[in-house]
Amino acid sequence: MATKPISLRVAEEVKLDLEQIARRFGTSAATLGADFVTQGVRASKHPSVELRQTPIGRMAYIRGVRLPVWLALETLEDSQGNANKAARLLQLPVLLLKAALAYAQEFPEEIAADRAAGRQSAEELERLVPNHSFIRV
Amino acid sequence: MPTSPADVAKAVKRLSPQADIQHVSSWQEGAYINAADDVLLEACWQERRALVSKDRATLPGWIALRVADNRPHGGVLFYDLERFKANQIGALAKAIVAALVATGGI
Repeated sequence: MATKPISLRVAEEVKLDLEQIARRFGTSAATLGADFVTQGVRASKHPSVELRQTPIGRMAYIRGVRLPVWLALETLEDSQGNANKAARLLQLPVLLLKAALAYAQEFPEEIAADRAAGRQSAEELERLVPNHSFIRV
Repeated sequence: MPTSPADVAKAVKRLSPQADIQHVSSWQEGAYINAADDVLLEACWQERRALVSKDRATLPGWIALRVADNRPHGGVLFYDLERFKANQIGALAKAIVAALVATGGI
C-alpha cells in the first residue's frame, strides 16, 4: 500500500505517551501514530465496526457484539446473499449487518485473511495448542 | 424459517433435557454478549462450562495463551463451518449432544 507523509501537532504529553506505548509495542512513535490515525479514519468511516486485538492480530468485529465481520459474511453466504435472512439468523439489525458488509467490501484482503484463519484444520489447532486432547464427533 | 444461534441451545435441550446449555445472550443475563474471547473463556472456566463456537480464528490463540500462563479452561467445542451452515440448527444440536456424550458432559 502506498503511503504519504503528513505533519501534525499533538500535546506534549500525548507525544510522550505515544513514544512510551510505541516502545512497549517495539515500534516507532511515527509508525504507531500512523496506525492510530488509520484506525481513527476507519472508525469514522465505519462506526459500526471496531478493531479488536486478538492473538492473531487485529480483527474487525461488529460493534457491540461478539461477531467478527468475516463470520457475518459467512452467514450471509449461507443465506444465499439474503441480508434480511442473515440478519435474522444472527439476531442483528439488518443495517448493522450491511454496515459490516460495507467494511468487508472496502477491505477484502483483510477479511479474506480473517476467513482463512477461521478455517484452521484440527491438525493446525493441535499444533497451536499442544498437550490438549481433541475429540472429533 | 430462519433460526438463530440461541435456538441451538433450545434444540440441544429438546434432544437432551439434562444438558446444561445456555446461549451467551441469556447466560448471566447476557453479561458476556460483547465480551472478548479471553474474558469469556475465564468466565466459562469459573463455572466449569465448555464454550461452543465456530470461531477457529481467534479462540485457539486465546486458549494457547491461557495454557502458556498455566491457566486452565473449561473446554471448547469447535464446529465446522462447512459441515454446519448457519441455518442447520438441528444437525448442530445433534453433534453437540454427541460431543457431550463422548466427553461425559451428560
